[in-house]
Amino acid sequence: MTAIPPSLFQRLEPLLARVKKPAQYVGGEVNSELKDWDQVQVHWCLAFPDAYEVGQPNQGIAILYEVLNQRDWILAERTYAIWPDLAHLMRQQGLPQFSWEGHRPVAAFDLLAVSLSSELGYTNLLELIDLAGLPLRSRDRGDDHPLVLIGGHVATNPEPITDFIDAAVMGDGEEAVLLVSALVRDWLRSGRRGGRARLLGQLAATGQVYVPSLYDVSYAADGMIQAITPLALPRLTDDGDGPGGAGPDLAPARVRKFTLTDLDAWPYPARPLVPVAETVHERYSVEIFRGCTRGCRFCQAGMITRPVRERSTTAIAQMVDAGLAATGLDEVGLLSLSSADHSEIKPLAKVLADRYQGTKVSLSLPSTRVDAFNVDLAAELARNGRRGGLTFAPEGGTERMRRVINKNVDEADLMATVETAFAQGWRQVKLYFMCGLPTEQDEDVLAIADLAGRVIATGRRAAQSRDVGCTISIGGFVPKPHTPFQWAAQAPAEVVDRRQRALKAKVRADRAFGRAITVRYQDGQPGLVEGLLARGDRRVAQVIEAVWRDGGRFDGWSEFFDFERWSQACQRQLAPWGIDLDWYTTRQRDEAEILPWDHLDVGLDRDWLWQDWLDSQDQASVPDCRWQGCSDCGVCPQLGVHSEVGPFDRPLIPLLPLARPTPLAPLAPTAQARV
Amino acid sequence: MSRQPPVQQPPPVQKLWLRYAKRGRGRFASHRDFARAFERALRRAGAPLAYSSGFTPHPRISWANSVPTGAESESEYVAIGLAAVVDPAELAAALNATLPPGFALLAARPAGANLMAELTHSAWEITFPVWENTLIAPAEESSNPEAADLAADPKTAAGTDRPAPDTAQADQPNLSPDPPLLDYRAAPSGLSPAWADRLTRAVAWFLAQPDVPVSRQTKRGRRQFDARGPVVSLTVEPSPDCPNRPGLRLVSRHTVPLVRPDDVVQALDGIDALDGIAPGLGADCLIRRTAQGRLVQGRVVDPLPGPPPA
Repeated sequence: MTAIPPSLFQRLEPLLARVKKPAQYVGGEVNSELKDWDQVQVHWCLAFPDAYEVGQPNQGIAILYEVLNQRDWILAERTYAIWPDLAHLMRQQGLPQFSWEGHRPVAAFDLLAVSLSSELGYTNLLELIDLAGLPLRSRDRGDDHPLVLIGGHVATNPEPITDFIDAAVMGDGEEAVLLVSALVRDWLRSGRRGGRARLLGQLAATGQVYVPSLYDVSYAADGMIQAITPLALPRLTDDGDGPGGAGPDLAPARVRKFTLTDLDAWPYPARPLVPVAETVHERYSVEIFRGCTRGCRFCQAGMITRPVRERSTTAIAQMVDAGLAATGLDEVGLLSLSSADHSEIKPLAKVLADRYQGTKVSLSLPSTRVDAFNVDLAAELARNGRRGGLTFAPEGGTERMRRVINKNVDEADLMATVETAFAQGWRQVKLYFMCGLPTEQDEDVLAIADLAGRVIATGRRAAQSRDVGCTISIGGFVPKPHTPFQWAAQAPAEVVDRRQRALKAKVRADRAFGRAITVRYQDGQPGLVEGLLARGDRRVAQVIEAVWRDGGRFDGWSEFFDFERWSQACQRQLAPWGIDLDWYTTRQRDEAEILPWDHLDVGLDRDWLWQDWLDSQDQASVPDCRWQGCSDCGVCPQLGVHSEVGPFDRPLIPLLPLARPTPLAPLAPTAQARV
Repeated sequence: MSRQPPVQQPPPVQKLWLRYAKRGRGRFASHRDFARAFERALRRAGAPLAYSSGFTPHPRISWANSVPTGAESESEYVAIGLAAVVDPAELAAALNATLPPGFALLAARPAGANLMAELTHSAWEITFPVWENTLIAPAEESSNPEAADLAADPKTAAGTDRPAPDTAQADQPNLSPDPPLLDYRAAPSGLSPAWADRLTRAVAWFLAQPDVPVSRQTKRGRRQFDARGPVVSLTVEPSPDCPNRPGLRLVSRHTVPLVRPDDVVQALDGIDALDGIAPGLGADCLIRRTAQGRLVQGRVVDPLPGPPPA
């Protein structure tokens, strides 16, 4: 048994008095758990490498926190990126990265599990590892250092950060963390027999944990990847020490993602933490389903989380009721990748709206689906009072563009939708588009202005008022792994910026509608760096390290992002390989090229993806398999799962108004005091 | 369909005054942070909140004179309106069971006429950190100072975040070695007599002045005001947390703008009439409000009594 690590809080406290938003660092949130260190066998530190205000509401961390802490042999604490003002003082005072619950040094835990949802968090990952006092590179870590594990969407191509992590897990984390916990417990019990190498070998042998050090990547003279070769596993079960006695077994040729089935059996988070410091989302969120099969070709989330697995309406309603009671929150979010698509969304919305009528609970459904049904749902949920904004995502400005990306909405759908919205009393809608999509021409982006003009005209007619508005929000498109656009050339930042500026100018010049339309967009340069990190290989590690050593942090924050720093690091670090930033981003790949993530299996058939890429150039649509038959993407047979979609053979909860027993019974009327 | 006019909410059936404490880690919560946490605690406790009328009804909660972020307090006040009559003691107990650590409900009672009119004065304790220039000699200090309690928080005492003694750190090749220790709660072996003397003389000088101008950054820019006028008394006394630590006791009248303990510290720090040597108090002092209420014979008396001394 290792020594109980000390709390660093006493030494941290004087520093907190000198920094911005000190309340974020003190922990102790309602529903957080501080377990006795020596009463459990496996110690996890769950990390989100962004500021607390962004990381605390993260749903993935909230779920794993409960799944782990419910086991009496495991504890899980949390850590977040420390803002540069405090990180600077901590380095001065010799204080390492700490956990929020016990303020224990992160280096004392058995596992440091980092949830990475954005590639722009990579420099913060390096900062976190370094501030924890761990060797930056996994190969320099010893048996007593925590295992550095990553999960989240970027784990489907962790190649640019493989030098810094020990292992990556793709897909749903619930079962993964329990599997890893059991292997770590057994290894610790054995007195760490065989060292770190054996534990990593055991994890790799499951076929579901990616251990990058067990794969060799070689490069051809032209800069392309020549081969990704699995290496021999260390001896896993014999009494021999160390990896020397390698048997015939190699690391698995392909590593599979985790796919959770029967979401009703995993009703988490049931008691999410309630922060004292302010965060970006303060609501109780329930995932109503996981996965999406709409098949939007730009959408990595939709491709890597297949198939659709719905939670039953009964389970959702029970989670909402218990979650509100456990947190004291008064906002509920019904989350998923496309919430209006739940097979029983209509009865669910009615049940919840009835149940919370007359209370101060507000319900929201973050859905961007372009149809009138979506508006009706929003109106039903807003029955209780507060009415949120309406957002629709046509994504492309022309029919042609929308067919390329398989976003099968036509303009009539959009106009019918906004007509319903304005007729039902909304005065403002928000429309999402992307810029820089494959095959996009200037006209495709400029057409957004015409579309927005027709939205305003339709809105004025429906609302019988000139007081209607439309916000156009544009995101730069970044090609992502495991999507049909993984082969596509990313648009240069100049092209994206030029088209966005031209659109804004066109809207401004529109005398009839220009003043009713707001255009929001971001610079193209951060998207280029995101593109480098998203489709990068192991050689990009040197770029990330150089940027971090030069002071790069919080790259997702515009006040910190420095394109010049990234650009220079690329020039210096990639030149020896004969490649550059453009090679990773604006270069189109062909079918035969070995992609850095080809050995990582999210279930999608590579030939299906290639065909979908060809289809996109023919503007051919692929239907959603929930409604129009299977298109053989490969996920179900490959992963041994299938779509789990209602209607469920389970009764809905009774349609009764909420009557929760309160611990504070009102006094009898006779005892009422005059006030 | 146009938007319905908002429903008119009924007036509260019961109004309560509550007194609460911010301790230990709770001192880092801003007033807005605590206001959100308190509202959620009321809901978890099942309190029958009354709401204001309007498009976005808010719970009827009004705050009085909250301490600055970073200060502790044994005497904070809030008034709430309820839609049903409850037993104030039961409500206080239910809140204490669900408030985050660092906050404690000390007393609750039916509201009187005007809470702000009851809160005319505050009593404060100011404790200075263990800084090199406050000690006889840093080298004489034990390398492993005895850890003091974080705070008298019952949740802390139960062991949830009691600091463990500072044992040797793990290997940290990336961190600077052996930095100077800066700590509020550790007990130094002795106080520098010269430093204590300077502090005493600074206080005497301050009290002898008719006014001492200070300035502070406010939402409306930098404002200058007199820190001396509202001060009823100011004395040098050892810190209640540790007799070897220097501290100040301050009683002051509430004014607009409010003269806060850190303003008084700033006034003391700015004195250069004393042999040209400032006391060097710095901005790192720990501030605690010990009482808030009316001034009765030089003492501040709370409108709601605190818990009996332990």
